[in-house]
Amino acid sequence: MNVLVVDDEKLIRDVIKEYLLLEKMNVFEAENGLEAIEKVKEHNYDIIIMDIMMPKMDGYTACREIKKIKDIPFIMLSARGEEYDKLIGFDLGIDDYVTKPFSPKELVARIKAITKRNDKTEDIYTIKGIKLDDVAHDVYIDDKKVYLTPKEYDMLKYFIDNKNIALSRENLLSNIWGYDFYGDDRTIDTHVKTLRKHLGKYKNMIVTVRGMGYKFEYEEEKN
Amino acid sequence: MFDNICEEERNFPYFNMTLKEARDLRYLVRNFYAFKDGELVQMSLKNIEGVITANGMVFEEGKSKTFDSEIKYKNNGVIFYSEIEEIYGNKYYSIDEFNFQEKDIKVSSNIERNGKIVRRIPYREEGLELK
Repeated sequence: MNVLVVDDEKLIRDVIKEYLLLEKMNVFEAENGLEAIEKVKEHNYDIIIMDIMMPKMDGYTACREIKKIKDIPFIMLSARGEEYDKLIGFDLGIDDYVTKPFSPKELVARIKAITKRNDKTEDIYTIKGIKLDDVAHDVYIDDKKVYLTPKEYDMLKYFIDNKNIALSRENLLSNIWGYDFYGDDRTIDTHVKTLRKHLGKYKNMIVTVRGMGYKFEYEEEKN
Repeated sequence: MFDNICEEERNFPYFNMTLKEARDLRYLVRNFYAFKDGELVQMSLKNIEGVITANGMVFEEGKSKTFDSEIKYKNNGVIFYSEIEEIYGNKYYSIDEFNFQEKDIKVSSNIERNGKIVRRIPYREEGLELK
């Protein structure tokens, strides 16, 4: 994820950069609104973190100009008591505000929330040769469409959402079938069995956790 | 460091105290032993019905940290009880006690798992109103 941090104070850029790098984000910097506009013309950013009060060009003016060029989510760094400014900001399409002094962890959380909201690819999950398209409700194994029952589909999605977490049968039952469902462990075991069949060579990704339930095991590929 | 008061108050806001008191407390926070290699970037100070608290962040290459402190005045000094959280999530407590003495300030810093460190620091150039 590419993040542009715009603040005239180098120390603030530095500290934000440290926390974002920790989250494996690519951080780019600009000292003021004018520099930010130039950078946006040349590069693509997933989100912009921008201070409001800056020399040469303030954050709001810069935001207005940038929105004319590209629709990029914005988080503004504001000071306490700038309520009126917030109204202008929401008019401009600013996604969120973080009040100075801010917690860098909170800033990171908000960046993640906003980019997730804006990420149109997040409805497609790809793990090894398994592709789950949550919009079309389709599943492909090595690019070949497979036909799952609704519960098998829900189960696969739940496994993917909770990969590498040991899930008890009760957990699977209540989250996939709902709390009201009157069923037992065999319901889960039967569905896991049929789901494994559909997954073909990837069936071993669903691991039995003895005495507990199942786990969808997947090790992220390192670059 | 700042071009104007507005800029200062954006990064170092304070509530229910004077600018001088805020600056004094900020000077003392900069002298926490835990922050000796870092630089105070932002800090908020609040005095709510006599309970004074501070929170902020410190930049230090690869070791930036945030902190929450409770501040208590005592005879000829100030004590800060702080919880410090490093960028990688490591949390620890630090008690920094500042004793105002005739020529300088004696600072005793007790950092969790690191023992006590005693140092002396000069007064602020502008003088310390808290004294």
